[in-house]
Amino acid sequence: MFSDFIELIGAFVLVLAILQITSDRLYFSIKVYAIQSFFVSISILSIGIYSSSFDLYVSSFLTLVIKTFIIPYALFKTIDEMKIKREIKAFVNITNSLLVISAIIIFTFLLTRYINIGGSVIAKEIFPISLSIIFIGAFIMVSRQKPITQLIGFLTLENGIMLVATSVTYGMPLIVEIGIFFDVIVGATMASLIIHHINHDIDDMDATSLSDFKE
Amino acid sequence: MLIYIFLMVLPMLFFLKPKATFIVQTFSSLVLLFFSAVLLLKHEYISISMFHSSLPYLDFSIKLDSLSLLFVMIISTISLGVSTYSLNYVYDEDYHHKRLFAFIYTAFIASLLFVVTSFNAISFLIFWEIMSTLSFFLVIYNYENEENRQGGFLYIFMTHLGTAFIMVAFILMYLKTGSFSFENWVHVGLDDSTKFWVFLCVLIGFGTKAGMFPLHVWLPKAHPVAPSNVSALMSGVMIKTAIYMMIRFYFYFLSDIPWWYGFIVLLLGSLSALFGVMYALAQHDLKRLLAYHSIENIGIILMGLGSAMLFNSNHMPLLASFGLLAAIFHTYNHAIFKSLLFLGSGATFLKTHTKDMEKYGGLIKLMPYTALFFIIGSISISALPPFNGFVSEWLTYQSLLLNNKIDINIIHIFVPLFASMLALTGAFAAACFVKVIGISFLGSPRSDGAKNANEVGKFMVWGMGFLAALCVVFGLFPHIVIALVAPITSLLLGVDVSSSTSSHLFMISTPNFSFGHLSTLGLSMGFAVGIFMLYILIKKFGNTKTRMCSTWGCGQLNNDASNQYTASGFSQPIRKIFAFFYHPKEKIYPTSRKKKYFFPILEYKAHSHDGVESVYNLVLKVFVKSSAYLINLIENGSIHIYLLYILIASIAFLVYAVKGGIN
Amino acid sequence: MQTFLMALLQFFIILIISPFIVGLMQKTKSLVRGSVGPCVFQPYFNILKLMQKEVVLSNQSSYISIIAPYIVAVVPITVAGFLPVFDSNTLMSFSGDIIAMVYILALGTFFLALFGFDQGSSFGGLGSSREMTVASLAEPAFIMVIFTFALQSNSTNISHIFDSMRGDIFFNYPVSSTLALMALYFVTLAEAGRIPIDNPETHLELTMIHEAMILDASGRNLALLEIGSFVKTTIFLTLFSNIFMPLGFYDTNTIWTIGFSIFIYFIKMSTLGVIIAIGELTLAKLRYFRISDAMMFGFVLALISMVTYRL
Repeated sequence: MFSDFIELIGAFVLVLAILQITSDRLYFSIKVYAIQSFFVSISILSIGIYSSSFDLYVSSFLTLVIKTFIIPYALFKTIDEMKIKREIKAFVNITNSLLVISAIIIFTFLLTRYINIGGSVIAKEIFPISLSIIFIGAFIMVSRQKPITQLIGFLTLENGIMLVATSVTYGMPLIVEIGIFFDVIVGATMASLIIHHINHDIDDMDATSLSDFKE
Repeated sequence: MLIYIFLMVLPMLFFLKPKATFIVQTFSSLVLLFFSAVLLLKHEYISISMFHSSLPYLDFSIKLDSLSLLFVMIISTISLGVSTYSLNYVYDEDYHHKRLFAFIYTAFIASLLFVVTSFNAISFLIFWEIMSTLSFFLVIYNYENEENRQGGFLYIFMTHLGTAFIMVAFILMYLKTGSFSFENWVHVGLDDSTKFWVFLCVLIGFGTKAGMFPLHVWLPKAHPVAPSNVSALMSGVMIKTAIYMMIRFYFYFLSDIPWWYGFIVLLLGSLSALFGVMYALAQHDLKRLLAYHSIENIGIILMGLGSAMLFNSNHMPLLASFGLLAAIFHTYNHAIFKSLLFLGSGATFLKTHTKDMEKYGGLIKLMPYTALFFIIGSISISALPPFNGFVSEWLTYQSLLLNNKIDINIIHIFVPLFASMLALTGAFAAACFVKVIGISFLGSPRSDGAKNANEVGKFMVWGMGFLAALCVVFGLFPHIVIALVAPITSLLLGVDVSSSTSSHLFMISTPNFSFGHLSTLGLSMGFAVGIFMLYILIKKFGNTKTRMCSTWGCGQLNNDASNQYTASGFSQPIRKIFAFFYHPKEKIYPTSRKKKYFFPILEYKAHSHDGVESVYNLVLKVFVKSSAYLINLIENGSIHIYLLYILIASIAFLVYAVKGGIN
Repeated sequence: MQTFLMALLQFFIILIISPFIVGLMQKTKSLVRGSVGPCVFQPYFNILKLMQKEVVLSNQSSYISIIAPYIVAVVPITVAGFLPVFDSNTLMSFSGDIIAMVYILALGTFFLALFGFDQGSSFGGLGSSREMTVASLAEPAFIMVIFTFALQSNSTNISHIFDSMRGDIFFNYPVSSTLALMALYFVTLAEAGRIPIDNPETHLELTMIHEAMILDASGRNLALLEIGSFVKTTIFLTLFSNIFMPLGFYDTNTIWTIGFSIFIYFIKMSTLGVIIAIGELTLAKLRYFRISDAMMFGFVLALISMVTYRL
């Protein structure tokens, strides 16, 4: 029953990742990301209660604060400052992206049926689900043109990793997790800074125009 | 038995009187149909070895077992309808050389019958080639058109490519069994690699003839250009002979096939189904649209066949018989409704003199019978209840669902995917036929040709009516077909399918009754009662008056036919959504020389390209170029070199002969 | 005999409740917007009024215009005979299963689209084209959802599926079932023509899908078409509520339990109607070419539910 609950949360995270693909508005994407992080933190918290480990409480709290509030807030700020057009340009249109995603899902679910996870596993289905989320995050990074969406893709990917780390293996050592959070914050800040500068300097928000700087 | 052969060839003798030919063909088909049904139901099978020639391997043995008998039934059913139709059609269309046409036509039907009854590889191949060649002649019958010749040549090329693969399969079988008789091939034990090559060659060889997905390019080019009655025969029956041989090979000759053979067939089937229907949607040439639908339906048949193969390789004969039932049922159904639709398209073509749907419109009032039969055929092909297409598609769904009982991961995940592809196919088919009926039969006429159309001759109506009636009958009473298929499943799988699927009266069910069941008769009774009640309700409490008025055109008075939606417009959303698939080329350009602000008449052209075709073109280009280069190298025009070839050849033969002598 | 009466009762409950559900949705929307809005029973009066009016047909039309409204109306009514409300014995369950149900509904759509074409006006064809496109795109997700439920309960008979849903299926496969129902929600929106897909309120040619087809209908024809669309909406909501909230299936021994079951069904349907109405208010209608994205999203949800069930 508990594993069902964890799996359900995992499934919601996956659904939100897919919703991320369908969105063509930046505000919406960021909101979706915040909700997704909220679900991840719930999942970590419940595993913490289940295995009564203090580390997981802390990391759940950190997820909640950093990913649900601070990063989305920073991103909202960035968008407001730069008055980005709301449409997201994509190399692959949404219907086709969804087709690719269904292929990804089938692939990961088929693949993980042949992988035998040793040790104590809380929820078996979490593994393919988080693997799909990781691939979807990577796909967002590949297929979108704007740096800010690529950043969201990266954050989605990171959520997937977080999910798989906590629910398949009872979490990583706390120090590692805090390190990861720190990385994410720094990464997000750096990215918003860079985005800001790109916007300021070349009046365009396209990552494709970065290739103009090549030699 | 001799009666059979006599009936098959009888109509050919009357070729000097074309009208008599068609009449005799009709009657002989009727008798054949009747006899085959009786033999099939009484489980009496005949075999005969007619003619042993002095040439090695060549003997014409004929055997009518249950599978052959059913296909004889399919052929004679269709030929009954089509021959009746031809009595008017050939005269109204006024073909030149009617005697020649009649002769080729009847010979073609006879060759079809011989193909499905031959029980020897060599004689099979001979009749197969006769069939292909005669149909080629029929395709290019109106050879004045450039389009016809191109379609015909593509067809003859592809069909021979297929025959080459068939020959390889036959030779492989011969090498393993030492015989060309089908009798000795039954459940032959082959080693794995040979089995694979036989499977592959059969799939490619007969898949080409059937119009399976990557090998279908000839079909949408050849079928539309043939005379309509011939298109009906080709689409309805000829491509089914390939299905016949596939069933023969995969269930009768090969045994213990690995599961992924079935999976490949299932995959190709679902791809052809989706591919066919999506291109059909983009067409506005009625006959080409129907030709693409043939690809779709062959896909659905292959899906049934594939799931039956999956069951068979997992030793579930009962479920395999169910899958086979789905496939054969759909084969019969497709033969009926596809030839009906081709005949209908022939009728509209005859009266409006164009194949372009955009120039039809309003034909339902001018050609009521043709329109009615066409609508029945359309409902059947869109797999809508309560007609026959629905029943076989339902069976296909159920057999796909039951595939989950096989304990293989890939099947578990992919089979529901195939089912949803089938769902998309069915929905697109419905959309496509809404387009066909809506554009060509409803609304107001879009051209002078359509304005002046009138009902076709009575034999044409009868021919179409017969097939339409069969659509309804097979839909409401599927037990008829199940009873006919049952001997086949007991021959091939050792299980009688009728005992498990039709145990309840007027109700068909899956082998496990509680899993799912269907009664089309009950459904249509429900419809009838419901409509009757509504009618009574309105009669009692409502207003039954009707006033006629002209169509509202947003205040515009000159409400002419050009205001109506067009066929290209209808499919535009789907073309746009699946742009990655169609690669549509759309262009809007003015036809008059006026400037932009003076409202020039604009013309819109949309064209979508068959992706597979361009791949073929590329391959062919490379092939032709390289072979031309080779030919140039060998035949360089110098007589000395040619003499040298002769010299080398004779020396080689000498060496070979001496070597043989030593041995 | 008793089971037959039960079945008949269930059938008529679905028919009678259907205009009310649509009226309730309209009323909710009006109230939230701050206007009074028409009475909840307005759809009944509309149908009665339309029945009394004469039919005006285009002189381009053929007999399709006369028979199509009957078929469009009778198809959902027949399907209503399939669905259980509080008892698993239903009127039409002998004649088909859930796959047949999908195709019967498609028959209605088919004739509705033909009706659109029959007047020879440009609106009808436009509506037909859009409706067929949306219906085709919704179909794969629908079949996938059905396959999931059929595999979970090991049957395609609707009564069986409902019975096992009421049992423990839902709790055995919570992930898969939840996702399947989310997918079913998208399908419901598409098939019932609700807001993110189609706006049932407007008559603007830019937005309308269903309304465009029936633009030329009048009098009893329009009444029949409206009945068809009401019952279709109710069918999908019933499907949704009786799987999603498997409450209310009580034993049918006494008249009181039956009454209570009907009452619970009624409450469930009203709640669902209000939820959908509020959902409509918070969403904007999707651009026509983004409907494919929504449908594709529904399909991916159904796909995930299938693969998680299979794991």
